[in-house]
Amino acid sequence: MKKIFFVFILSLFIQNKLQAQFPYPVGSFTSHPELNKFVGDWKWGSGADSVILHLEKQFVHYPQPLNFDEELLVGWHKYIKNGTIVETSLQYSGLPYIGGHSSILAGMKSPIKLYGSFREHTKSKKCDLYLTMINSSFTQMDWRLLESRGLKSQGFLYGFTLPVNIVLIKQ
Amino acid sequence: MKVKPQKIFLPQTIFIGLLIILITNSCRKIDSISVSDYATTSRFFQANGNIKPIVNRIIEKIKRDNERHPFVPSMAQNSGFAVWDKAIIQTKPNTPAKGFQNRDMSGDDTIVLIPMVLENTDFVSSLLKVKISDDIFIKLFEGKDYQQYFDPNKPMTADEYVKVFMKLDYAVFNYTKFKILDFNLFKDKIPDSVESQISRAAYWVPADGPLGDYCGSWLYGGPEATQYNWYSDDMTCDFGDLSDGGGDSGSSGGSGGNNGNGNNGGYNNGSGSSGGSQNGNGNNGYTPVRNKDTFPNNRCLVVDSLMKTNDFPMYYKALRDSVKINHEIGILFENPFSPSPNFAVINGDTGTLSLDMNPGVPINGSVHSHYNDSNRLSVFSSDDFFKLYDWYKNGKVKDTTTFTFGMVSDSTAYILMITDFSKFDDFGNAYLSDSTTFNLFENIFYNGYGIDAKKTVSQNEKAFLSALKLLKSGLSVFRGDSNLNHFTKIGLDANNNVSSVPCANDAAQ
Repeated sequence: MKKIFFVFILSLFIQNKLQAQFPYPVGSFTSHPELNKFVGDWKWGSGADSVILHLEKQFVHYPQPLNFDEELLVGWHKYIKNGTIVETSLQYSGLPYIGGHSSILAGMKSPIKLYGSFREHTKSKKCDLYLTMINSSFTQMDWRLLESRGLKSQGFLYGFTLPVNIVLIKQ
Repeated sequence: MKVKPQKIFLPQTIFIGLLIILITNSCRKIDSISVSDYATTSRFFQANGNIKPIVNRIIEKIKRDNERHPFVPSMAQNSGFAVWDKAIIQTKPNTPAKGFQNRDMSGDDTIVLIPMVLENTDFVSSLLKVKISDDIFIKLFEGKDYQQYFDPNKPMTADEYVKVFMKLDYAVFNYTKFKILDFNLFKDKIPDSVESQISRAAYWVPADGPLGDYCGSWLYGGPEATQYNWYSDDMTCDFGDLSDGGGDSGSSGGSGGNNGNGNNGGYNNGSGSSGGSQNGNGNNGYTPVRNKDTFPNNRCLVVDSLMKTNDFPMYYKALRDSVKINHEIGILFENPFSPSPNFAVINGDTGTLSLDMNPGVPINGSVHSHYNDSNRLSVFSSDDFFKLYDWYKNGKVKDTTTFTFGMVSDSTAYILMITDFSKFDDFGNAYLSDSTTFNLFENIFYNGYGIDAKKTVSQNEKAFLSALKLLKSGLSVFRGDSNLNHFTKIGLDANNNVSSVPCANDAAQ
């Protein structure tokens, strides 16, 4: 009994260490196991329209003066409308985040919610993206796009090419 | 076919040889003397920017005069290089004026003032006054000759003379304040009650807008840039009277040679004092107040001074009042310290927490609102930083030492100022220069420090300051009080609690 209690306390301690407080130490690598439930291929479909995502975890390096690495969710997408590909970055799936033509970068907002940015090609802009798990088996994920807040560049195009609120199914 | 051998005559050959040597040497001699003069002359006539046709006519006239008797290299060295695109043009009715015997009574005269700036200086040292009627009359005036105009027999006063140079300083360098160094100047314009203060700081502020009825106003105060009171001045700026009173000397110009003693080819005003150098510190009776002089490494003074102007706090308060409208509003401003500042108001799209705000020209600052919405932030958004760096890198920040970047919500107001340019450069290069690394900045901002619309004002403020401190941003943060009457510089103390920061230095986050 004493041994079981010790192992439980030890596991809590290890988990606490793994979830280090931001900012992370210089030179450190911080992993986020909670991201695992988001990793994989996801799809939403409605008639001839579909959104396909490929999401994976990557250690991403923060430049100076931070100089640490953190595990983040990196993603690529394909959007098909009326059977025609409107935009896709899926061909770059798996490339490192820096220079990898990804369209999604997201980090932990809570254990079941990610906040990040989505880069859409058609309007050549980034949007705020929220990904939220909506069932306990982590097979359904809510996708929500919002216009990013703040000052914009000249000629900024408001609105979205992709659907702004859909539920994606784990493939 | 038989070719007849050609006879060679020795005397002819020697003569031709000598002629070639003579011509060659002669050419070499000319080249070696005139290379620098040629470069100086080319530079003098170099016309950048938008040159008006009448100024082009003047350039051609001076070129012709210079071809007859090259004087431009000497004039450039002693009096400065012309700044053609900043010429001030004034048309006045052709009526007999003080100091001029008008030749053409049939139409209007056009007066063109062309500022001249000595090499490696940042003020107007001389000017060419050009009167165009049926002929072109050109006269050179030196700023340092203002003392001659204390003479009551002169057709214009020293005050008027100095004001013309100030106006040109404003046109060329955008100086809006001038410290009067010679207290014989503007004596009767200074109220007795403030004379003691004037002796410490006295500025003349040229008005924006067309020349004519209103030329400028006085600004006087206590410690520099901390107290502003205005004394209105209805002086007019009539440059047509700029004259030495010596009749038409200087018309047509072109006489004299390049003797290296300040002879400016007949454009001299007859004072005989051209030549020599100036250091910009009082030879004109005043010195331009550069912003770095006004606000020596103290952004608090800048913010305090802006809050004492009429318009700056008014616009912040107007934005506070506007947050119930469901779109953002931005204001770009130029010359906030001048009596006629320019403010441009930009409205965002309805229902979007964003604003397309892009100045076409360099600006002195901006402020925008975060209107009431469940998703609005009480602090700057990450995109706001991206835009600040974009302006900074692309020449949209007119004066980095006084540039303010503000935001106002229903309950908060902040101003950012760039304090440490090296750090801000590094921060921007690393996190604000491309979308890839900007996403990382967003992750720090919204996930790492958890800045969120649902957080309290104090939580967001602390997170916001923490992010700027972590990234060594080089920015200083000022927080407005509830009535927007005063902004206080804030930062994190040794225990990472938000506190006010002493303004003795410009330590940034």
